[in-house]
Amino acid sequence: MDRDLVEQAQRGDREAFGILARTHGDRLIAIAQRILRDVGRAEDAVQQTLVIAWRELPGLRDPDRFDAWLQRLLVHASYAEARRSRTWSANVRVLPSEGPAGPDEATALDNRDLLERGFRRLPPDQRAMLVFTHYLGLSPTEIAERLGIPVGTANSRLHYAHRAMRAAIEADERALPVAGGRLG
Amino acid sequence: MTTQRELDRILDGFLADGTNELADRVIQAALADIDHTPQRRHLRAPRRLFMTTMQTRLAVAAVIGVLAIGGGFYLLQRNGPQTGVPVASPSAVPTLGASPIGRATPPAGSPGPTALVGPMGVGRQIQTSTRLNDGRVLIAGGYALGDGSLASAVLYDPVTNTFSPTGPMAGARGYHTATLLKDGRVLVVGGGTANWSATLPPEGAFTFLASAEIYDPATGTFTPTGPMATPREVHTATLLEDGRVLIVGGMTTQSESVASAELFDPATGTFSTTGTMKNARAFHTATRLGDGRVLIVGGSPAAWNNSSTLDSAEIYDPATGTFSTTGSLSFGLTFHAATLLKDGRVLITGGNNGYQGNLASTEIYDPISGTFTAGKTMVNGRVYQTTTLLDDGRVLITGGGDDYTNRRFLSSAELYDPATGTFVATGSLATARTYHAATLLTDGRVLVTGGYGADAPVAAAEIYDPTTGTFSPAG
Repeated sequence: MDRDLVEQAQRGDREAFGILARTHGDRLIAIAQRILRDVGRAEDAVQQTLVIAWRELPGLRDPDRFDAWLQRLLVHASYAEARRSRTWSANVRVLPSEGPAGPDEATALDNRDLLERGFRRLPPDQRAMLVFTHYLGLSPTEIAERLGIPVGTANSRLHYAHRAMRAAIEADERALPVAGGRLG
Repeated sequence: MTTQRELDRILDGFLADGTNELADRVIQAALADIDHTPQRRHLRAPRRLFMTTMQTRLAVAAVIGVLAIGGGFYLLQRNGPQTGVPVASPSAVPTLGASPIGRATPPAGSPGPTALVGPMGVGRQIQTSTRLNDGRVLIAGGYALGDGSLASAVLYDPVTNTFSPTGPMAGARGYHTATLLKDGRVLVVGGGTANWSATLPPEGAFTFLASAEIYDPATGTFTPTGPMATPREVHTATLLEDGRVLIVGGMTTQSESVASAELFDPATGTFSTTGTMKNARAFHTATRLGDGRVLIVGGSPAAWNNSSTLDSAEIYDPATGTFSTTGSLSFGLTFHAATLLKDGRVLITGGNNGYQGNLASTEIYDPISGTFTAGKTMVNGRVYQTTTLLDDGRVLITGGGDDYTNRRFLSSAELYDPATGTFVATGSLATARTYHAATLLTDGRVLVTGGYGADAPVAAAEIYDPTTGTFSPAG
């Protein structure tokens, strides 16, 4: 179905493009929010992606590749959004709406907070690698193909991202900061 | 120590949480935006056209034919038959006498309506422009109206301010390279042979050229040499300090970018393979650095794909014959330009980053640190612009694409001043153009030739004078 809609949209059919946008929108916001860690910025990235996709759609050679192509555009839009906001280096606030009920839950929140801080320290391209690997379940080869980067680059970005996350976890295991703290 | 399995489990759980539903207002906002966003319909993309169905290609060919014949008929009616130099086929050599082009009298009963003549003869885009040791400029090949490739070549003489025919090449070609050798001859390499207006190649039969030719200014003739091991177009060719020529990357059959490189030895007239790049790429830039190494930047890693660009750069070392990675661009770039500055750094301007087609952004490569840093932005976003190092160290940037959807190309030009790192507007071209060429003349002026204008390849040329900051007609 996508292929027909894509071909119609390539010919300028806005209604067909609207159906595509609604079909793929949830997946796009899920990816963008996980990379950017901010719903508002993720929505901006998705909106930007849809507009760019509309503009560039006639240049898409293979309509069956629409989904992968759209995700590639989204990742680039997320990079641009991240550059604008510089969100990856600072200002972590992950506080529960209500206080923890007990020690186990408090530990879980602390662990989540340290993961959040570690993740936000990563550059956007490494964040994207983690999202595509651990959320979408893709292999480095699949990610490389989808993002249009060499496999070696995908592997190295994933390696550095894993190393950084491991270091973040182990550093915080040694000196767990207060949840809701701010990093410089 | 956290094991990889534990880390995977932790990250799987961490990234499972998050937003999974897009608010409808975002889609509504996007759809409202696209009401004001025209779709980008690319000016010329023969490789993508090549991948379409035969039915579509035949339809495109029919439209081109109708437009060419209809437009030519209209122009003949308007201008009268005496104004045109006939061009029987875009790939044919213009039937010109020894007189300067544009002043030739067309033979009686000449076939083929066309107004695609001017000082340069036939209008051409994606041609090469090479300054010879005697100061003349060799303009060779390229594509005419309807993407017909050209075998013809012309010489511009700045002393007489005239163009005259030379050659022709043995093979029609566009997206090729032309490199001035140390002995004063010119090496022409590869390119595409598409002649879409005449006969469409059957599916899968499109080929790029492995052939090469050498132009001898003393005789005005092209002689076959080589060939290369790999057919390619949109590659780069760089003269090395020892006189050999490095051919890098490009696109080959089925529109795949290649990582291979070859060396041309003018002493033997042969190509030999050399190191392979880390990345396959086409539409990249290659710049010989002050120490003799060659900087390769960006490009397209695969087939024609608007959102596929490389942010990586590599260095070729002629001493070892190998490529090694160096710093990366801030983001992937293709269709950009690179210029060696007098202080040894390299200015990267404009281009396409995969989803924005006419960037104003710039970067500077420092060969000492091996890193790129962001530069100031140009006055205009551009793609397929020309950049020319002037004698005073500034860089002239001309034309290029601005809005391909609406076929809005730039007549504007700007100057980069390395002392301040800033771009300022300078005089404008008389003809807006993209896919053109610019060459520094021996007297410090810049010759701008051909390209694609409002609706056809341009046969007019202009000269930029840095002392006045203005363009004037050439030829």
